[in-house]
Amino acid sequence: MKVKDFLIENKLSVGDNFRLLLERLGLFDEAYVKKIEGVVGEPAKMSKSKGNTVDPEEAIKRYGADTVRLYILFAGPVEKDFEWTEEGVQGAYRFLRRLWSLFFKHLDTIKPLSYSAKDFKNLKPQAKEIRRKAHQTLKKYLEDMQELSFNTAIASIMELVNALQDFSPQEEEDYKVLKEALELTLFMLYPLAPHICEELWHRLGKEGLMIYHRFPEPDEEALKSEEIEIPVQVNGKLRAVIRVPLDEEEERVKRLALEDPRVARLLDGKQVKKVVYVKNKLINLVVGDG
Amino acid sequence: MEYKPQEIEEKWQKVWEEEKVFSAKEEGRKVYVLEMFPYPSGRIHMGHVRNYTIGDALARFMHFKGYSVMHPMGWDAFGLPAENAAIKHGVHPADWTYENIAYMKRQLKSLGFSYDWDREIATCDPEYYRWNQWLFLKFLEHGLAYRRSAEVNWCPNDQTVLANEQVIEGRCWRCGTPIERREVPSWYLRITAYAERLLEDLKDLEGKWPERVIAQQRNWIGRSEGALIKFYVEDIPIEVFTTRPDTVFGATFVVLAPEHPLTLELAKRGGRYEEVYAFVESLKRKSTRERGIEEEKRGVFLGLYATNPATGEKIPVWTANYVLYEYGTGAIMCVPAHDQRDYDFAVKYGLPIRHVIKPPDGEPPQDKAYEEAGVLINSGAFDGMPSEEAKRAITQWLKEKGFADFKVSYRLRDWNISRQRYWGTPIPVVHCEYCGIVPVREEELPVLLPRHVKITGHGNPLEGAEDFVKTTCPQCGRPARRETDTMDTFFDSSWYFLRFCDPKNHKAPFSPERVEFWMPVDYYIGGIEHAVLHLLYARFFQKFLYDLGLVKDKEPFLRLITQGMVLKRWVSVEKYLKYLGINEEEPLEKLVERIKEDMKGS
Repeated sequence: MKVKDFLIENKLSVGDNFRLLLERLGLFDEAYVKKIEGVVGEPAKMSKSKGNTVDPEEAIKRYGADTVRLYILFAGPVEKDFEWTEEGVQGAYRFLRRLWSLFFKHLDTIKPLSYSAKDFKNLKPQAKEIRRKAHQTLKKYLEDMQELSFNTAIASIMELVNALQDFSPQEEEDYKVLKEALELTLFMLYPLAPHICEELWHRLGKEGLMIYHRFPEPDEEALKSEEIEIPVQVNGKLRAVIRVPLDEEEERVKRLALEDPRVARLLDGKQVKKVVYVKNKLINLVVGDG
Repeated sequence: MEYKPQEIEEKWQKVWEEEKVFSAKEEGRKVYVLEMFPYPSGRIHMGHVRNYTIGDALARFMHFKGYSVMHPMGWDAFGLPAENAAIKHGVHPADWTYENIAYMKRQLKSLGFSYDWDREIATCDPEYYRWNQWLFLKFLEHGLAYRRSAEVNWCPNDQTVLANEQVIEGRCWRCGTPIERREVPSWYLRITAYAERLLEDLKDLEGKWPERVIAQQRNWIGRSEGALIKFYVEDIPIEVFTTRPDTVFGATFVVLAPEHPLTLELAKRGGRYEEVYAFVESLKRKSTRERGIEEEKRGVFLGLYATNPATGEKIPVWTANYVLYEYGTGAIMCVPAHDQRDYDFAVKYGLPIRHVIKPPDGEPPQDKAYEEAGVLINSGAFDGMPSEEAKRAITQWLKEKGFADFKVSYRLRDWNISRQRYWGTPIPVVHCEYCGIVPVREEELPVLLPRHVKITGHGNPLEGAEDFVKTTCPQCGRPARRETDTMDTFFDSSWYFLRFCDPKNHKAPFSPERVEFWMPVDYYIGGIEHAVLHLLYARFFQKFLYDLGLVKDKEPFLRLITQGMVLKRWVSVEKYLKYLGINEEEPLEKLVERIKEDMKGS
């Protein structure tokens, strides 16, 4: 029998999905199909005729509505096409699972805690940094949502959750910071994946549905980054001290150093040959005559 | 604790629904978030999910921001697939539709969307479509709905008339069958009366709507400035519309569309009736599509001459396949030196070519038309004038002589809303032998769609429904027949966003106060494919209702978001065979062997 006759006998056309051919031949193998799709496949609009649809109902059954929603919003800018992949949807699912376990890991400790601004006055560096990150994320989130940039909003929530996972709270203040950050995360995630947020919110012992609560504002106090003093040397001699935010970019530190009046006077008519910057520690300008 | 979404999602969906968390209330600052409502085809697909997830994220976020949010959902429930299902499976379109709605509603709920379900509407509900009929009567009252027999796009497969917008590259937008041209009496909405405003107000949407949607609408409306020029054949004027009046001195012949009413009459006078008749008939069997892609331009001389009003010369009058009756005046002046299509035709039939525009530097090409701007030559007193300037000057000159006038022309056509189908809104008029066409009285609405009809797939099922058709004339009381055309479903979706503001109103389509609170739609989310269909009609309705004083906003949709498509990687059988290096003529065993080999290799 010719290939052609086999196709006709099985009501297949050359425009059909090759998965059907493998099925009819009894040779279907998911891993192999994936490989071929990776090598010669191309993304096309989901359609019945191409047999490349994903049934939303199936996806919801498998991963839940929150995962499907989160994935769809995360996969790309709203106006752009995006390619549905199983890896992608699994990634969204794993993220929600991580958030879930992070919550329950700390739930018993954080549930009875309450916090207010004064609890955050004297935080240790790591906790302070977590708090800064949480509020920075919130600030960016609000801007992104205004622009309907859901994918970037989700990306920063994910980064925040990563940071929270790496955070190892020790004292009560640390746990308060963690609790606040987790609550912010729930608020931010709620419009995108509402069910899991509502559930965790109630697990925290909160009264009333989330939607009735005020959406938090970024705390300007938390956004402030710590400033440090950096000695400025010219040809190895201490000439000035400048104040810069912790972890400031090298280019900005350099500019601030050059703009310092005491340094500028010394450099008048001279040429900066080399700049040595030791992060958060020291900057040395090597200068020579014109 | 393990994350089990199935255990928590349904629970919260119930709570949200029972507590009516997302019920829209008229208080404070409002936001109206709307996704284009779906056709109840049976199941939702991933495109729907993307569309509605975007809307839901926005709606919930706006709730948080303290806005009073309206986020409704409904069903664009009339249309062909329900009738096709009736033909195929013998199920009544209404039952099929409502079953699909129930199923899809469950699916939407399982995604946790924050809809105010109390506002749900289905356009096939008499409580909705009676207001379609009411609106139709308003259009009629204001001279914006009319019936005329016209050549229309006919889908031979679906046995129905299609709007211009529903013909995609000469094919039925739904089933892909090449369309034919047919004479059918049809109801039209005079959207062209709003062409200028639909165009002008696009400016207000800039920066808020995607640029390409605005561009597509602008292009669809297709405003062009030009001149209407008369070419006399003895005492009969042939009116032509041209955007290039600067080239009139180069017009060496005139062509009428085959359907032009003067074509056969002039041919009779010219003594060439038989040839011309045969030519016109041969084209009738062709669809616009075929005429559009027919590369070879063909035509017939009508046997007489028209006077070029600029030169006073007698130039031959022809009919040809490349001139369409629907555009402009259905007749053109032909300037082969400066229009490529005219050039091709002139070369084929040996008609004269005269250059009247010279490039700013150098000479015009001899082997093709020169279509760009330039400087006038061979144009009497206008020689040396730049062509842009000459457009005005020549039109003015001919106008003074009584041969021309300035004219703005649009590509936009009036909208044919008649469908020879069952599952749609009955057009509320009756045909009376004595009184002619008589509108059904407002208080008699709705004209209900009869439930018992025979749906066979051919012709209009309503024609066979005697109980429906037989009625009495609202004017004289004598026996009369109901109109059996139903409305294009785009009529239904042209104002549903207003009904959502006041979905249970039994006295009017909506109360102006409700609409004033919620409108305009702040975020409208849907597919780009609606750029010139739905989105243009909805703007038209909004403007009409604005003129009636029923709405306060000139534009219905403040911000439009057109979401991208959901794609998935796939491989066709053809591509796979090519990849394996197997052709269809080879034995099946070889294919199986190759596949097994390839599987091992991986």
